[in-house]
Amino acid sequence: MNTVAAPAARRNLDRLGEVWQERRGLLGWLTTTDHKRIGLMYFFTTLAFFAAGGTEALLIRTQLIGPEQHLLTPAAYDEIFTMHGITMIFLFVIPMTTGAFGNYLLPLMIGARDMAFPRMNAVSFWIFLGSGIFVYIALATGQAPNAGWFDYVPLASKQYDPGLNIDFYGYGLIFNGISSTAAAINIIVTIFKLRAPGMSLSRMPLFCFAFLAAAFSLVFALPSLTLAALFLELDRQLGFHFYDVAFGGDPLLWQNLFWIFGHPEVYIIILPAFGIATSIIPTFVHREMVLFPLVALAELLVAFLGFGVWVHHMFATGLATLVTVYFAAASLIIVIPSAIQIFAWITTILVGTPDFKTPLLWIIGFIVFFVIGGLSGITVAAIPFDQQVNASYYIVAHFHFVIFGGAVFPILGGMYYWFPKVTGRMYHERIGQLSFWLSFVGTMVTFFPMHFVGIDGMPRRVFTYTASAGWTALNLLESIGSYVLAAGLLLVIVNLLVSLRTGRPAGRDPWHGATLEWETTSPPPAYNYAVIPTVSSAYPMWDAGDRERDEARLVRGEGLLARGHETPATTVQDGTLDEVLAMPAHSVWPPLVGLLLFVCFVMLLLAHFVIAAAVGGALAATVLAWHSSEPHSEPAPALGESPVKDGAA
Amino acid sequence: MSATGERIRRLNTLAWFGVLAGPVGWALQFLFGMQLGLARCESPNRRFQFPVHTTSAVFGGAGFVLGLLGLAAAFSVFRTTRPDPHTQDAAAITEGRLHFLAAVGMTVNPLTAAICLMVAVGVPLLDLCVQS
Amino acid sequence: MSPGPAATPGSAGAAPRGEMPPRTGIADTGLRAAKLATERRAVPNGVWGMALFLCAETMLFAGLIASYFYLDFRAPRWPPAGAPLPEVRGPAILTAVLVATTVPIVFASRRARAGSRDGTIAMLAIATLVQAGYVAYQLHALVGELHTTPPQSSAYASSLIALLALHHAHVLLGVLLNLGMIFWLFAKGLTGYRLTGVRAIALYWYVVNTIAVAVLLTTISPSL
Repeated sequence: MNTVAAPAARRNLDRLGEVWQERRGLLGWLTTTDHKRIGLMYFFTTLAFFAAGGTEALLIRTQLIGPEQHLLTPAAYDEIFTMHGITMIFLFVIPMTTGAFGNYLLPLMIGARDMAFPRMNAVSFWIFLGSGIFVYIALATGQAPNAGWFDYVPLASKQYDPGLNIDFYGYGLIFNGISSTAAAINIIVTIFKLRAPGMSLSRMPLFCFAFLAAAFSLVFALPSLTLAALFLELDRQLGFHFYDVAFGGDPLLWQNLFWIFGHPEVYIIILPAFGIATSIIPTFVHREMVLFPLVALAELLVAFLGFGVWVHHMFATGLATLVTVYFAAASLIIVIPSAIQIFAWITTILVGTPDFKTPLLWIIGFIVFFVIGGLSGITVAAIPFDQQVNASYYIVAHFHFVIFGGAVFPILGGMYYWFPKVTGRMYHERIGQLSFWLSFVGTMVTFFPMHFVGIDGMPRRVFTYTASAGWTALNLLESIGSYVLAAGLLLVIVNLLVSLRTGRPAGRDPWHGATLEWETTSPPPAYNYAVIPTVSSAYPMWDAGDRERDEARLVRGEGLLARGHETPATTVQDGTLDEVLAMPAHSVWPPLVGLLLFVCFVMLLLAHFVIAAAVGGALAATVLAWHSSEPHSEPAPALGESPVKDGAA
Repeated sequence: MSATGERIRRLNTLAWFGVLAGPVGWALQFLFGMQLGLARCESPNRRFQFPVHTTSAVFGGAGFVLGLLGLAAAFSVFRTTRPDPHTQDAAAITEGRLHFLAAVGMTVNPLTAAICLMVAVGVPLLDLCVQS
Repeated sequence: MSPGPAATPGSAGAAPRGEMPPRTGIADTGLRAAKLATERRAVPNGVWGMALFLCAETMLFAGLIASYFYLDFRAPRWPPAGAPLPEVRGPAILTAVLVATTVPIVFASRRARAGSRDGTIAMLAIATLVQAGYVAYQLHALVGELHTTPPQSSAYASSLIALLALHHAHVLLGVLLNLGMIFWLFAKGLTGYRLTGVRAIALYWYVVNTIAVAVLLTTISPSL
């Protein structure tokens, strides 16, 4: 596109650039509401937590490298595996997918200029950061949560865990949940209302369907966790009796409430990864996704059915079979939508012309691991088999295949895929491929043997084992695998960091991608799109006519929406243009809300309820002040000025 | 409203019924059936003597039937609409979206109906309140 | 905004009313807000956001109520020996009073859509007065309940008090939302954004008042 040569186009771009100017320096980042900056903040923060969770994993594997090792005491080991689980799930995978990928890419993919609620977007980040720091203060002060990431009572009750460890867990998860709920609401409204005109539901990228499903699951699942944690803290701090049998409570109430959240949670983890995979595959096989409507449905159905399977985590608790059978039936059928997706991906690769670049390699690795993890998942959907392998390393193998192989691999593939768009530079392909192979082999060697030691009787969460158990060789292999995996992951980071400085310029669309983010510059300008794109299909970048029309409109100044921070809103079903919204720019309120909420939770943790209430009052005042200003658009141009030239029509 | 508008409204209702009937049927069957089973089997003193074999067959059967109705609705919309063409014409976009929803409905209803059938047949065959 | 020369009237990209879609960012008076409300066809973003937040809150109460009944099913006797049976008449009347505040809330929403700042403030103020009275009375009653049925005495008391406390907290939050909205309407007037805010707050009350009925039925269930 030769916009520079067209002075009218240049003028229009400059005008947009002025309107959307980002504040510079630290203050600019602190007060930003731009989805791309927020996405980047999420990205780097979650990577830091990934490193922490990974270090915890390496400590676990080093402890288990041989029988009766003493690297960690039993108490320390309990804290390390609990923090590993909490960190990876709540502080890495969810915020990385919804916060980093979702925030950065969703508005770009739908042709919008920001998320639906930019200030709430910022506050989601600050709350997430606060919750992560909150939980890690626990580790730093030697009081980390230590009853496992699902924290069963009565072990987690005050009687058996009297310190602050579990209170950090309970309040930390409620705190973190506020961030994720806000982010999820933002994602849903953005996808529903901010799509470019013409982008009906059937023309929405599959990435959006996946994120929509994950976001709906977050909204409906998190309250259950909040409730479980609230009951736990009421029991622990105020002497309530939800979970203790002596006063009519029930420990299984915790398990039910937790897993009503916990099972949808694992679909929340995997669905964005499906979205990333369904973005990468069509691009690198140069073909539209086979069975598009069924893949879209499968993403939503997996999330929906995921609310009806939670008791499969409780098959060994002695419930009546005629209750558990409801869950076994749903657990078996839920395999089918996942299988639909797998068959669609594989078929698309087979009938397309695959170009085995690094991003596609990560996705193929993901498919391999997800199939293996899915197969072990089917086996544990059968109640009798699950009762044999529950709480053994077989389960550890299963969930690492589906979570690590199934979610982290697409994340890494996505990092490589969108690196050119975000940075404007290409990564080094050969090193990329090496990083993939190291990680693939490392993952396989770490987690596959766990199936065998699990069936052989090794329980999960044990801090050591005896030589006579016969698990030594496989544990050694697993630990070596984990070091290889760590090397692969480090190589990913090194590759991207080096490429940031020495990679060749990427241009707008190095991959000939199908979705709209490849239309704009790399990196995108603050306003994303100079003109709001025309959309006629689910693969807008492959509709050359529409893209040429967009270029012509830029020259004419049509669809510029430059009278403020403006973006169009459309109807939910058919993407019909409905109104032009004015969006907020910089705001000081989100970081302030994050800070106050952090103080509030610290007070609750320390049982200073009156102070917590006072801080709550300050929060209410801050939220009131938040609404003191509203974004505006400039009024219509004066008579005599052409509305088309001004871009104000 | 014009005849075309009426047609679109009718098809829209059918399409969404086709998408939601099966899942709603499964959800209701799941909630009520599972809760009654829990009340019957997990409460001491035989407080809740619900006839769970009968109720699970009834709820499961109802969910199954709702799934079949949803399938029929989705199929009728699928046959009378065309896939999404590459156009900016509003009517064509709507029709393409309806065709897409119909495809979704035709896939989701057999799956949810299958769960309802499995439970409707399975639960009555099980002994009452035996721990697994 | 125009979709380009190829578009025809009635096509997806063209504004369906007149030439241009309404601009929220210039709806900075009551009159312009009312015009925006008539031109806009879809549900505004802020109302969607509130609806989704209310989905989460509904799930919270569904969990609370399900936990209450779960513990009920598991207990040999509910309430346990020593705990008084819940009162029916008083709570039912109070709930009816709360549900009745839906009426001024509906009117507040209508007045806002008509562009009337003063009408909106008046209706919100009436609703807030009654709702604030309700929550003050209920908090006072809750303190009394803490003595007759202390949550530390049993799982029944724990789940009853938690259910009541959380419900009252939601009514209190609603009162704060009303007060905040009244404040900004008074200080800065009705705008397109505040119109969406009033609609969102109205939705909040419809759901909270419905949940109030569910909470009532749950807490009085042993006496029914």
